[in-house]
Amino acid sequence: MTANVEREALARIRLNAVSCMRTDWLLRLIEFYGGASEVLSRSAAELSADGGLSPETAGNFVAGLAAADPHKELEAARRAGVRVLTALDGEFPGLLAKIYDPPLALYVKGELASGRAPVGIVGTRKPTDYGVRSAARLARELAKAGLTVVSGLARGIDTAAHEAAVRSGGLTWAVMGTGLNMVYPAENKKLAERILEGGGAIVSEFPMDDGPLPAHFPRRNRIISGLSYATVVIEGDFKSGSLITAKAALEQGREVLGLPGPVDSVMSRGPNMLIKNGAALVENAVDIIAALPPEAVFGLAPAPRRRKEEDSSGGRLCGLSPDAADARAAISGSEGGLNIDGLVQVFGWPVQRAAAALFELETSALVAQSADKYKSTG
Amino acid sequence: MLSKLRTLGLRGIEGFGIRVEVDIARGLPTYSVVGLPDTGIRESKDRVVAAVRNSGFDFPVKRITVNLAPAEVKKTGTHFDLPIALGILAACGKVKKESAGRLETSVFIGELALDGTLRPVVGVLPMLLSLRKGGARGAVIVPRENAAEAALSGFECLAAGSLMETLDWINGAAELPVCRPGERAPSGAVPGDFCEVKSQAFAKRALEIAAAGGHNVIMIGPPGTGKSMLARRFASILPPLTDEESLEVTKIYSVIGLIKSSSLVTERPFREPHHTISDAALIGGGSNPRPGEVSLAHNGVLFLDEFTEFSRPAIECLREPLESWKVTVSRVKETVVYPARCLLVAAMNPCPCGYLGHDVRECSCTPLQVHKYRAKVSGPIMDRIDLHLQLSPIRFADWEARPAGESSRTIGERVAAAMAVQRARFKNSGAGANAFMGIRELREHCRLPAGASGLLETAMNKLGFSARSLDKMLKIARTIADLEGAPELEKRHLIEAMQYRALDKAAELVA
Repeated sequence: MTANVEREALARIRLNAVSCMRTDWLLRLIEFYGGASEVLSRSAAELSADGGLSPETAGNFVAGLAAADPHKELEAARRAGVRVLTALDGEFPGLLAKIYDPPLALYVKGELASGRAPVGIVGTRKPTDYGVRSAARLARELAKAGLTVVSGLARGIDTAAHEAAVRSGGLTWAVMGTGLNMVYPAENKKLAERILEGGGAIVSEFPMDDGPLPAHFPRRNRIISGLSYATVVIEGDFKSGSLITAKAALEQGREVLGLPGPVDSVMSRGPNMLIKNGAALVENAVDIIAALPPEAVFGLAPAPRRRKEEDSSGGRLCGLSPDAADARAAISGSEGGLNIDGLVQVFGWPVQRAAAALFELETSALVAQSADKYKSTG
Repeated sequence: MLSKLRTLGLRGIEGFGIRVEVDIARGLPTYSVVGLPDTGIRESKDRVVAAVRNSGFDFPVKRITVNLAPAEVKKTGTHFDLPIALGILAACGKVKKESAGRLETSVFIGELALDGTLRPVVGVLPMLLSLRKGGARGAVIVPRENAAEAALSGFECLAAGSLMETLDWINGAAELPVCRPGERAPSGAVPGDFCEVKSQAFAKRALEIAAAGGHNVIMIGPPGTGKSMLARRFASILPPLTDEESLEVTKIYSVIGLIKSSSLVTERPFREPHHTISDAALIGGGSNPRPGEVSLAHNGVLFLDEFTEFSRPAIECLREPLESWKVTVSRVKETVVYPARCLLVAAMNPCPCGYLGHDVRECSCTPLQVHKYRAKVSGPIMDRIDLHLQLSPIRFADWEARPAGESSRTIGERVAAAMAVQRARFKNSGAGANAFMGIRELREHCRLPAGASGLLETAMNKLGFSARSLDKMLKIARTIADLEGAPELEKRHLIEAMQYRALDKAAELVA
């Protein structure tokens, strides 16, 4: 890297550290002056005259720049095993570079250059069972097909998507709304580690020590869609972060897909509306892959094969005992799952018999216990 | 003049012999009690003085020394009033020479009122039972109101109404009535019956297993799922107390003065302390140690509702009693051991708001809150709880339905049969019930049926059970087999047992 490029990169990291919330404006300034280091050399008066800032804002901006220390930031990143990429790096994701307001700096932990096309999966933090189940299934199918699952590591759908991708041995990227020195929400710390162990990545545009400010998350969403060829909205109400991501994807010229849901489910109002307005309807990974541009699909690397028992559910069904088959039908036919008492009531079995059927289903991974109920996993 | 008398003291729930020595000498008038008396005993001075005067005697204006021997043991209680007063009277010659033998061999217990009448005291039964070991020779005098309780000890005791009556008896001037056992009062409360609990077949089955094998239980479920209702009926499926158990329970209740109608406690204790209870009140303690709730639940059920709301120290204190069935309260001057063989039934909500997993109501807790809430119950305590029980809200159809299902009596018969099997099995070892099997007993009595190792391996790998939870499962399976009367473990017993270890499963992804 030549000294010039290095200086320019440092300048961008400095700009990003001061005002990453106004990337589009910074990018305009950089273009106007012909480089980030040029921007740094301007006085407040010049910036205010050329950039259309009020003298006061420009003053604050210049003062902030003087106080910022990109070397310290780089040092903090290095200590955490994080690389800081700018558009000048070859490693900076090409898709993200193409959007209207790509981040000036991208903090990356893990590996982005896998050659597996990224697809975003987003949704509400308060999903229904259907949403969690579907997000997990789609993520699993995508990972197995050799795509990368991109999401935001938030609670609910994001967690389900990351989790499923990691579990099926696939790649997944988490785009954070905080600096990489923390994981928000904290309960996903372990998940973040497993994402990295699985060869995935955790990225953020925010300086290392930034906390989870509310304003961060809508901006984070544009990176999820910006990194991805397509974005799938699983669940979300009209005014939700998922729809912000969908909107960003559309502005970036990326494909938006929606998972249809019951018309009386509040959480499906968002995706249903998107589908009504022309978004592609998703039933399975094939629908998603069909919506990807050719260069994304070309050369899809097959994901590592998974263990035999986790093959398609058709294979798993053969060996079930009649009781287990009955119980499975009852559980998947019920709303919100059944517990042992439910089975006892439906079939009039003694507790022991219901227990045996559930054990069989649970060990074949056809149902899973969540709180007090057994729910269908397929 | 010197006089010597016998009385009894209490250490924990065991009695021991005490000699009261009274010396009256010439000198400046003083009155001192030595021999590690507590404040209650020092106060007896004023009661004794008034009682002696009001019984028609002059209180000696001399140097009075009362010694309670053995002097190195701390003594507590108000029942020393009577022997001290008698000692003083004897020392100033109010007891005839020929009655001196009677005075020295008898045992006196009683608190004095200022007018000289006798008041009832606590701990009469355990104190008298200690005489069994010591081999009593003389008579035993207790306050009239303790007569029925004293009769439970099996000793022939005499009931006195006042200081004067006692003195007259010593001097041979009057007779005292012999204590008779009280009427066995029918228990006032009609315990609930299991058939009143609607649906919840799974929970009832789990409690049956818990009762049969002595397993501790934790119930997790939203409000209104019948946790408390089930727990309150739990004692109804336990077999009645044996005579020996009954006596043990009565001793504990006697120490804290909780004996109702002066008869033996015949019902299984059911204790339900509030979650604001202090750790000392829960397991016992205090500067004058008293038994806590775990000991009051001895041979019965300790129900801790809202388990996570109990203070952390209180919950942690339960470790010892749950492991060793006793509580040791250690103080600088003494160490007291209370029995505490109780079955723990804990109940908690699934999350702070209570509605996690509810069909209709929405849970407003974050996963982190839920995690923190559950983490309040520490691993070591959960290790001592064998059965995990997740309850679901009762549906309208069940609420509407007429209660049906087995009565407590039917279930209780099965439980009693399974307990008998266990008693026979463990007659040569200390376990007593399946829940308390050690590793060696586990290997001996819970041999895996053919083909079951594959089953357990699947459980471990697929459902995330740990080696420890497999051991717990074996114990539960053993109890299930005992309820069936099956001599050997079978696969189905193991499979059912897994249902009661829900919390051991690998943490599922929580939405």
